[in-house]
Amino acid sequence: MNASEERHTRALERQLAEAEATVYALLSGQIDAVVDANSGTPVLLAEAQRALREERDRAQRYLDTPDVVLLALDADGRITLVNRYACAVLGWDSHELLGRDWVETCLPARTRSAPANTWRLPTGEALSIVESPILTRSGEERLFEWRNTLLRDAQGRVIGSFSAGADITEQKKAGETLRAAEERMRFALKSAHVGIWDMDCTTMTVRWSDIIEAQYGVAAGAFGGTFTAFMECIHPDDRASVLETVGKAMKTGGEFALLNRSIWPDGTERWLSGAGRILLDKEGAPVRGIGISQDVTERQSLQAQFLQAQKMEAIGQLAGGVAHDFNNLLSVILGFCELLLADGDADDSRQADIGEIQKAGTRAAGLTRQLLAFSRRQVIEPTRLDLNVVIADMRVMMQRLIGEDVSVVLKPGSALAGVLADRGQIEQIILNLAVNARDAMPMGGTLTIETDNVELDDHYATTHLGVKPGPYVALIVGDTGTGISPEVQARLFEPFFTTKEVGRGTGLGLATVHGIVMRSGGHVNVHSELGKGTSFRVYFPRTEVAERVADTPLVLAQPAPAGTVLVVEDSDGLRVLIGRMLHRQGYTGLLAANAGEALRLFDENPSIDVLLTDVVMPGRSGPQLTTELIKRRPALKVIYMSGYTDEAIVHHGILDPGIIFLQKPFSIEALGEKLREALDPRTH
Amino acid sequence: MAKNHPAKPAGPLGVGPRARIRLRLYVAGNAPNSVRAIANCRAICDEHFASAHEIEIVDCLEHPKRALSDGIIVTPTLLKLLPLPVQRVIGSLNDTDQVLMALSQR
Repeated sequence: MNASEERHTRALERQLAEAEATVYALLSGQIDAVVDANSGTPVLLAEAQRALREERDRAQRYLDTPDVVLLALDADGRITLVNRYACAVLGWDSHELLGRDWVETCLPARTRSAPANTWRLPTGEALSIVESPILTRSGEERLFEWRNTLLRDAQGRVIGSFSAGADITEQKKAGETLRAAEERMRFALKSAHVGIWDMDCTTMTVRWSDIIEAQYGVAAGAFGGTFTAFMECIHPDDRASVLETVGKAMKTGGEFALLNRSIWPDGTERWLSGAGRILLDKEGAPVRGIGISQDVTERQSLQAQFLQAQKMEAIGQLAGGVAHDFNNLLSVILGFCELLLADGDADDSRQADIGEIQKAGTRAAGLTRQLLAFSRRQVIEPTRLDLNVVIADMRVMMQRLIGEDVSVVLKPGSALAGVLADRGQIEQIILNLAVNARDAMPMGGTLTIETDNVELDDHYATTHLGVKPGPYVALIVGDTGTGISPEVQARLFEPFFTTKEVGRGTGLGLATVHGIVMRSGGHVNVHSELGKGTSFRVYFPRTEVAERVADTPLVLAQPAPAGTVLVVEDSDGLRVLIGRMLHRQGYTGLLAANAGEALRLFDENPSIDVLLTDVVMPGRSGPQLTTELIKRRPALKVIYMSGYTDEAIVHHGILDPGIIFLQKPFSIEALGEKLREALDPRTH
Repeated sequence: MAKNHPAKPAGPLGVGPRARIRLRLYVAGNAPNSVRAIANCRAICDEHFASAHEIEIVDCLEHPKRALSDGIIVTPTLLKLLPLPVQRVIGSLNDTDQVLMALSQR
């Protein structure tokens, strides 16, 4: 053999040996696959197929065991593996999912372009843990937490991804529900201004919510965190009671309530109401305390205001009752003074003495009037008033009320128009404003009361709520006092709003002013500068009503028309006085002490023209008597006389139309005027 | 086609400087004889050649073209590439002596 033949022979031997080895390996079961001579693809032998299938099935069982979605995608994002749980959650069979685009098939449209879902780009890095929702076949969304791994080949290229996802929908929902509940609770506590505290009784350390810190004037997070620090925040006068209450609860366990003041570093005092509970261990030793705290300063203050208002109401009722009796007595005193002065000799020196009695009586009547104003039992009888006259008449009284440190300056406007208002109420307005002005000038100053004719134009009307443009009379009460801050100005006319110390103001003064002005169709506003002073401007509509003829002395000289008057009055002195007054004016008076007597006299005397009756009497009242008499004779004229109002004849302080009212005490002249009004055919 | 791990510096014949024996094992996925062959090959090399060897495992299921270029007929097949001459061992490499004999042939 030559060299070439030898090489060829060796190659054949080697091929034969390989073939033998292959056959041997095949026969001994050591071969898995035969490589296809054209494609190079290995064709698995039956045994290898079975083994691989078993292995795959075993692997699939591993994959299907946990409640976790296991998912493999190729580099294009197509599904190459899903476990059974994933199929159950998604609602697809695995053969339906395999080969599909994961993002397009199983993610909600809105999240498809989210960065978390573009991880499969070849250059992208896996997001280790992401939360993202999936879309089930039925259209439901569920939230999953994913752990992703990128799969790479030997060269480091991304060839796919493997992800494990846990369904956190319920967990998240529960978390959100809890968060919402916590949020609601926090909101409730915050809006109700309820603070919460928590105490570890073994170490006596205390935790406070930020609301409690605010209630004790402690900066957020600055509370010392111990029971001792807590005690230091309590008003010194209240420490003993708090210590006793908490100490008792720590011995016995259970709930306790506190009402104490906090004292702030700047000295501010606040009222706090608290409730707590101490928990004991099995041996009865305190372990933990929890509780709440509320700032009740406003409530305490409102309660005090309410009590104050109730007190004022009670005093008002008392004053009204006293005024009733007092007016009867004053009527007798003043009436007889008037008669004595009219009948007496001008040269008699005793006439001057009687004059003094009359003056004192008149002053007492003024006092009674103020008592009635205070008790808000005035009857409103709007008449045409000249404000200049009213303020001039009040000057002396006002100066006395205001004191010597404050000078009162009147600036009456010239040719002032009239207003239609109740004189008593106008006086009440002026008094209330003057008293406020005085209180604003503790170091003295000037109180100016000014009147003027003004025109409120359209511009003013549109910038001031409820004002009609037109002619008004302005009453301006100004002071040179401390002024009112804008915050206080905003609440000035609110009932029960007062800046005065307890017991000094009812908080009703300006509210009453506002009410009266509004009722008269007027308007009130305030201008104030801190440190310079305040002026209240009250506008009353000008009245076109002419001055009453009865107010002129000319009419007094006219002869009174004669008639018969049935007088019903339980006060003996007053009854006799009224009889004398009637007689002097030319009337025939029939006097009855009560309703029973009045009925008898009425039946006996068909000539009775007018019933002049007290309102409040023992037995049947004036209005009850009137009802009975009007039934018998509908044309009967009625005059009520009283020291104060009664809901029987007035409603909300305003006289019913057609009712004539005579305010006690009254003069002969006033009585005559009311009788003329009653008997004047034009008034009915 | 790149055959070397890029991290290893290649010698004149594409062999790491310390690798005296270079092997390539053709397998078919995780088929049982392939898995066995991988395990046997690693065990023999670790015991007899320590660190002076390099094994490349090629899965024909993934790289059928390579199987063609090396003339592979069945899997598993172990090729001894270096030192020359190239030798083949067919089967699951159960017979250590036979494998050692093939690897030591020059």
